[in-house]
Amino acid sequence: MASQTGPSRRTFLAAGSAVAAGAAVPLLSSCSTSSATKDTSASDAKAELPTYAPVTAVRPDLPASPQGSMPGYFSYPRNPKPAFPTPPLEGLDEVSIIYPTYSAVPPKPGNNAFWQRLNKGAGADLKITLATGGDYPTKFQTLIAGGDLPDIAGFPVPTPDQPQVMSRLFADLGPYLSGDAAKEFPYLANIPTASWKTAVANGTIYAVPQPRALPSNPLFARVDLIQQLGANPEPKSYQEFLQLMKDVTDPKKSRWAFADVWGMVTHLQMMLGAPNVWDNSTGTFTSTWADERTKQALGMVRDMVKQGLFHPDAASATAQFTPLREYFTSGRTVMTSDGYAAWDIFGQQIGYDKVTAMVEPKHDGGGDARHFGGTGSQGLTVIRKGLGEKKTRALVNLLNWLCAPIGTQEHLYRKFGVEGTDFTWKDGMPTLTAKGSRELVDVQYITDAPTILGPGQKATVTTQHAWHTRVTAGLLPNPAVGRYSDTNSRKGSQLKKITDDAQLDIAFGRQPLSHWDDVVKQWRSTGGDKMAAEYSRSTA
Amino acid sequence: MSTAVTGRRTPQRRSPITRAAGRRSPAGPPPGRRGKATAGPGAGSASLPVRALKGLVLLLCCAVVLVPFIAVVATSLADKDQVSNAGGFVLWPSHPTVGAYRAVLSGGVVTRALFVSLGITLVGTFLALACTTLLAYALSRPGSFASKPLLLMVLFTLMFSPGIIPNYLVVKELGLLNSYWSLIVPVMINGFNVIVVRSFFMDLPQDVLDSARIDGAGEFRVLTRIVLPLSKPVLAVVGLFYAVGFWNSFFTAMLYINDTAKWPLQLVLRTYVVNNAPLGADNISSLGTTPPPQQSLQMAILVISLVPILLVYPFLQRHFSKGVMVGAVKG
Repeated sequence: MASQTGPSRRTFLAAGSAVAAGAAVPLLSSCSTSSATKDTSASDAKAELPTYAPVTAVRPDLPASPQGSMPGYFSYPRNPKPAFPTPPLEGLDEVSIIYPTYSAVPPKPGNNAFWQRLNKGAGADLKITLATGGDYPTKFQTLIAGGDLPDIAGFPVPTPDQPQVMSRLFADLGPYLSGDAAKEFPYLANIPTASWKTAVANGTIYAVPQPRALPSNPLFARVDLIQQLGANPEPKSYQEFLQLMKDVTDPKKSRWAFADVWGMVTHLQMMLGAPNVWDNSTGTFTSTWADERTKQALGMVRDMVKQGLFHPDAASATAQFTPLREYFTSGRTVMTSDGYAAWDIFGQQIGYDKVTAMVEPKHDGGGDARHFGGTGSQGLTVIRKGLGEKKTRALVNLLNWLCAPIGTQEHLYRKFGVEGTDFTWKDGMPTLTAKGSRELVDVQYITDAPTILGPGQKATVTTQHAWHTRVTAGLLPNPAVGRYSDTNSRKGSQLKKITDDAQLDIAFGRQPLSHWDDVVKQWRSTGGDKMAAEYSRSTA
Repeated sequence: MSTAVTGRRTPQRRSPITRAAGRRSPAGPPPGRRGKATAGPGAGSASLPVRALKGLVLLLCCAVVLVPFIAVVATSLADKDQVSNAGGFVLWPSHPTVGAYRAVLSGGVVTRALFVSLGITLVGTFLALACTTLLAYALSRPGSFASKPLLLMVLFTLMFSPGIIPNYLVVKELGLLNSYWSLIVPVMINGFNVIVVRSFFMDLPQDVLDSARIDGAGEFRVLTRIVLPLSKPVLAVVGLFYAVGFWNSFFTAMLYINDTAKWPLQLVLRTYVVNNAPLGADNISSLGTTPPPQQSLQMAILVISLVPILLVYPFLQRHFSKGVMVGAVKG
């Protein structure tokens, strides 16, 4: 979808989609008439999403905000109650599932207590095929072409001809989930409406999303270093922010302010009030790339690099997560841009007291800038067409089971496996043992309950909760989320490369700032204008 | 070896020739080349500073190659604190520990994958060499059945390779999905290697083969008793090509193998090392996510995957330097 903000650009790069799409696209497109269905997105706006019915199995210590920030938990409930009287797949022998994994592969079910527990809970043999995350689109498109579809599959986004592929091969979940029908699957109805937007195609619901928090990447800061250097940890304007960057930079001590060019451009866009990927306040879609403030942000990054505030390896590090995280945790960069869950990665690695997330100030001061919203979901999961009403319903119920929230026994078993083998209780928290982290089957990439903060230390969760509540209050959504653009599904990565490369060229002085105008022109003629038109039409 | 060719009929004529040829050919390139090599660069003429400079440059070049290796091995042996303090890589483990190796090998997944990879590599290389040699020999004999069209077909595969999905469909129709054979059969004959072996065969002295035939050896006996023993360099090289190919293949495994228990080492390695790269931002949710494997763990599995294939190189080294040249240049 077009809803990608900073981080996910890299996901696509890493996905090596060139190989994948290159091989698979011609086959896929040849079996569908793309021209006839271009306007399916128009009807998507009319799709009836599941009626949101929040479920609270256990009361959170910090409440969710009405704008949709996550609730916080200080501890994990010790004796959670089972939420399902009978297993969701009762009566079925086995169910085949394929989804992308991002962890090391677990041992096969035969000697994997965690997996056996999952099978038992689900009530059938879960025949799980895993594909490494980056290779998943290739694997998926090969399966489609070969006609070997499993019962449940992760649906890579973007897939060319998404609406056609969905309607031909996958089950319409509208009858099960639209409106009040979702009440039968309470934990799916517990997924907030914003997260369902991407699951729509052909005017109905075709998938179940994996809900994620609404804000896009926070701007993380090493608060310990900032305080130690006597700098200002809470800048109130761009000038103060720039001063902070200057104060913490000291090349002699191998310490710089930042390393991620794309991330910085995005955060500056927020400060300047530029649109979040797209703007449709006038009724037609215009891209943030063509916005004057984006160019201004680029100029600002260019100046920062010139003043030596960026890590010397920034040019190569920008495209990757690993070095950026290493710079940050080792204190070589004082700030970094990363997904909100990275807070826990950093916290566990170097201590929660050393990490904080900043709230971007408005450029000229006078309050918080509007933080950009993300997609609210990551990944989609679809069910094969033609399995019959009974099995399809059971599979939807399996997804429902996978969404059982904290406070249910299903949640505990799904996340932590078998007590004593896979996890033990430590300080009131279930903690994976070494065996547990090896055996873990990360079914969270099929679908999952809405994300929460914690459970963890009171101070930590409170800080995170405060940031999320404050940022979510003024979140600037990306209007293209939940709308389908055919051009984006085909040329999205190519278009992104144009702007990505140009940002680096300009930031590191390989091209003058004025080059950006040509880049935007090229971007628009290569497909940007078409994308805008497709999105605009879908608003009608 | 060549003496073993003895047919029963004309012992006195054949043996001197075959013996002579047999002795000379395995010795490799013609004497001229060898002479050039010894007369090579800087035999005693350079002054001390120049030699020192050369030494320095060579040392630098070696360092560029070696340091990353040392870093990988050292990081795999370093403890967690040192790795995170160093920000990723260490050059010397201050408190060496094999904890990372123990962790990697304890689950059974990696050990199993290691055996899968070894099996595929051994069986695959053997079959691939056998098929390649047979095909190349047939194509190298003038007048063998349909050799021209067959040769063109092999050349054709060099220029045009099928896409992912046609390959997948073939494997699927052959019923090889989720089978180890899917990793071997589709790549058993490599056009390039066939050409290399064929041109090597064509270079063998015709007289030797003729004399064997006069002695009554059939094609198969000529191949196994004369041609193959004379072709050890090229077989070693092509074998190594195949072995490395089988050892490193992960993409086909990713497509064809659904059962993770059948995954070869490289694919498992991928889930440890490469896979958390796309695991960024939107993908992770904090609860119940295993943290990305520590650097030392990643490096340990890297070492495990490197060592077996690395062990093969020294044994094939001497063939390696000449094998490809001999076969390819005279094609």
